[in-house]
Amino acid sequence: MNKRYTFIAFLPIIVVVAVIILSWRGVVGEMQQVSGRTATTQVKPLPSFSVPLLNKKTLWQSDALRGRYVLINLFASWCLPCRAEHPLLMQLSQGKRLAVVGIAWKDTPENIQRLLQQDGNPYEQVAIDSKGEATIALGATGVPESFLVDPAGNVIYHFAGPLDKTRIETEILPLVEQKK
Amino acid sequence: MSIRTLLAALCIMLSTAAYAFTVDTPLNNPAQEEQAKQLFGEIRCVVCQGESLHDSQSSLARDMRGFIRTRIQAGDSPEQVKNTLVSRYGDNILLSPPFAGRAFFIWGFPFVILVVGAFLVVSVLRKKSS
Repeated sequence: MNKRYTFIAFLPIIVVVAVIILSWRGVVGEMQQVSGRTATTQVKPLPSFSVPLLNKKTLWQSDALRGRYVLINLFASWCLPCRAEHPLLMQLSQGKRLAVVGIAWKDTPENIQRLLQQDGNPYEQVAIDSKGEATIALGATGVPESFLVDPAGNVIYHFAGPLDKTRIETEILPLVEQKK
Repeated sequence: MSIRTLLAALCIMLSTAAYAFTVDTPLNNPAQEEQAKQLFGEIRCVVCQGESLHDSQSSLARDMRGFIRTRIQAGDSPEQVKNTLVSRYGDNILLSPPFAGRAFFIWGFPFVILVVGAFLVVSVLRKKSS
């Protein structure tokens, strides 16, 4: 077999391997995105929505976030992974590098209040999303989920699942530092 | 186990079942309700496995049905509502995602392989016969 035929014989194998790799990466990426185990850094403008603030008659407006870095954290008092990330959010809010805002999903004011009294309150403001308005506006699938919003009002990072120290230090804080 | 404990357990079970079967409030306008229902069948429940919003009893699916009804009632067309959801959750939220990009590549690839294979076989046979 001459060189030309050797190349043709290997061509399908090369193409098959390339397609398998590309498809696998794509399929896994989509599966992870749906199941919420991966962070996405696709930049999207923060959608406009308003949800009632905890123990106040006023509404929390997403448009009011512009001008600084804010981490929106979807949580619930009944959610165990949220309790696991809570101490890290406390540290993050004490670090003053960015503001942390909480949106409680499917929760009652009493239970949220109890949680914040017991475990501390890392949130600058807490809103309640009982009808899923904020959740759907943000494209979230449950709790906990976190969204980093830049001063221009863009969501620059989204993670579905409990945040851990490594993720905060290697993914979230560098985004804040980089752009400051 | 005392009678009181049993009664308490029964109450909890019944309240959970009642919550799971909470009936959505349909729109007053039958045409709009029909549009919303059609969309429920086209949108995937993002926390379920292969279920549409129509079939799902999950809390988020219920909220999404409410969102769709609100948007339809506000005057959005079904296409606009679908686009809004796609912009937030991606193409994966559609039970039948658009046949483009990677999907086209994946589905078309076997035919490409078939053509390449046929070309290879014909080339080898020709060479042998000559």
